[in-house]
Amino acid sequence: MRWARLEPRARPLRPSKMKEMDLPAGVYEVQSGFLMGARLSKSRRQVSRLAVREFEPGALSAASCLSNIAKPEALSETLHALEAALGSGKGPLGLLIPDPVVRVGILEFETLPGSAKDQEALIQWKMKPLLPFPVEEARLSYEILHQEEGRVEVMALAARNSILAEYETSVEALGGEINLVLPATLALLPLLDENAGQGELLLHVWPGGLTAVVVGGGRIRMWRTQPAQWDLPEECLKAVGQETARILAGAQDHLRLEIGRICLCVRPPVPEEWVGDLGKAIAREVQVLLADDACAGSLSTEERELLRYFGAPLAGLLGNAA
Amino acid sequence: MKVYLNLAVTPSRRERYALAWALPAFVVALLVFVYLAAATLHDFRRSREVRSSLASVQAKDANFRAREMELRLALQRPKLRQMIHETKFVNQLIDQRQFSLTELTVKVSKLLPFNVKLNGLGLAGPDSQPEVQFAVMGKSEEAIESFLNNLEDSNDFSNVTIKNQGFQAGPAAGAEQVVLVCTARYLTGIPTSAP
Repeated sequence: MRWARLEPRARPLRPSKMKEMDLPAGVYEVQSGFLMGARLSKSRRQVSRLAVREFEPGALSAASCLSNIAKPEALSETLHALEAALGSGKGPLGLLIPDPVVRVGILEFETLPGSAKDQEALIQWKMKPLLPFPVEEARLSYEILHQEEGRVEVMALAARNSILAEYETSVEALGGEINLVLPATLALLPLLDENAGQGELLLHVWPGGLTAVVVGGGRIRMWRTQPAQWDLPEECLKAVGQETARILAGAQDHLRLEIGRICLCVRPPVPEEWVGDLGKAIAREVQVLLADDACAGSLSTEERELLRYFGAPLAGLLGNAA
Repeated sequence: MKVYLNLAVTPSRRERYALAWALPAFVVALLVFVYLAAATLHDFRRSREVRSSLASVQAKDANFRAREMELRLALQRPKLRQMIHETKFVNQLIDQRQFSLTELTVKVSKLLPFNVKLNGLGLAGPDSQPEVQFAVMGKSEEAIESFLNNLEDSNDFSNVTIKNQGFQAGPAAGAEQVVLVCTARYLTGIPTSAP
């Protein structure tokens, strides 16, 4: 009997540790310029309450290695203000963190070991050169993106435990167990079309930088987080335009992937002209990712407006749980 | 596009409830420990008591054994063996209650002529058929002969056997007396089979 032929079938497609993402009852997103809080209705897959607060500039400096929160009291105060706006609620909480906190790796292997423990050890070893801190201090999560004979593609997230703990401690103080921690851009991925024939580019512009994700063939092909500083919208437009042009060229040259759709999520929101100018700069049509009204449920008009411009990651989480 | 990644550390059921169960588990463990310690102490004391009483019993047993050995050695002496033998015989007679020494003496006295006197009377042979040993002393051989004839003719005795015959100086000067030692099986009053 040829056991070698059976081996790939016996190997789990996903590591046993991974489960379907459980939708939290409340979500808090912490970014350097704003904080967003939301209560989600698990049964209706809708946002039931939403609040956004501006966050003191300089109180948070997102990075993967050094301490992020310069003013924990300010963060705690803003989070409590959000909680007060949202009203009381029970259940587990989700936490969306700035992208620079997390290192993302698209890793390739000829084969993966059968046991989850061995897989994790191998992925840790492969992630080690990508991390600016000891891999032993990393919290790791990974997902097998693609698997074929002699080739396995894995997407791995790694973040320093001590950095994650800073965010988690602040949110847990609101009273709730955290069952979901993701970089904000990852929460946008469910909004992309998995069955699109051509490649898709997701641009997530957050205060202090840009994350670009290239998706093709139903899987992530490239992830790039680029911190940047801009004071004026024009500077931002220029930086995003240049980065987008580089990504498009790189996708065509290195990935042999034609990008058919460019999705953009900018927070805090920018004028429509800004988006138009970006399209002109890269000579492509840019589609802005906005939270669907179906997610809004019984939100007030003000909350609906906030959801439309800030709530795309929430819509992504709801879409992921559907 | 579905996402399965998650950096949250969800505590397992065991981790979640470990702290809550730690105190009751500790209390239960402590109670069990105290119970086991008390039971062990009680068993240890009981074991010591049993061991000491066993040692005392063994010492007594050793004493009795030593005493028994002494008695056995004492009983091995010839004098005592003879005494035991005779005692056994007498005891047997007493048990049977059919053998009267007085009756035997009377019967033997009737067999003695006037000039023969009984010097000794002994018992020998198996218990079922005792052999009576006579030591008689007569003034003449005729008198001894007369005793032997009476003995052989008697219905109470059989198998008369002369063991020894001789002369012995009498109380008066120049007078000699005849001494005879003989045995005979005593028939009267003895059952055919031993009890």
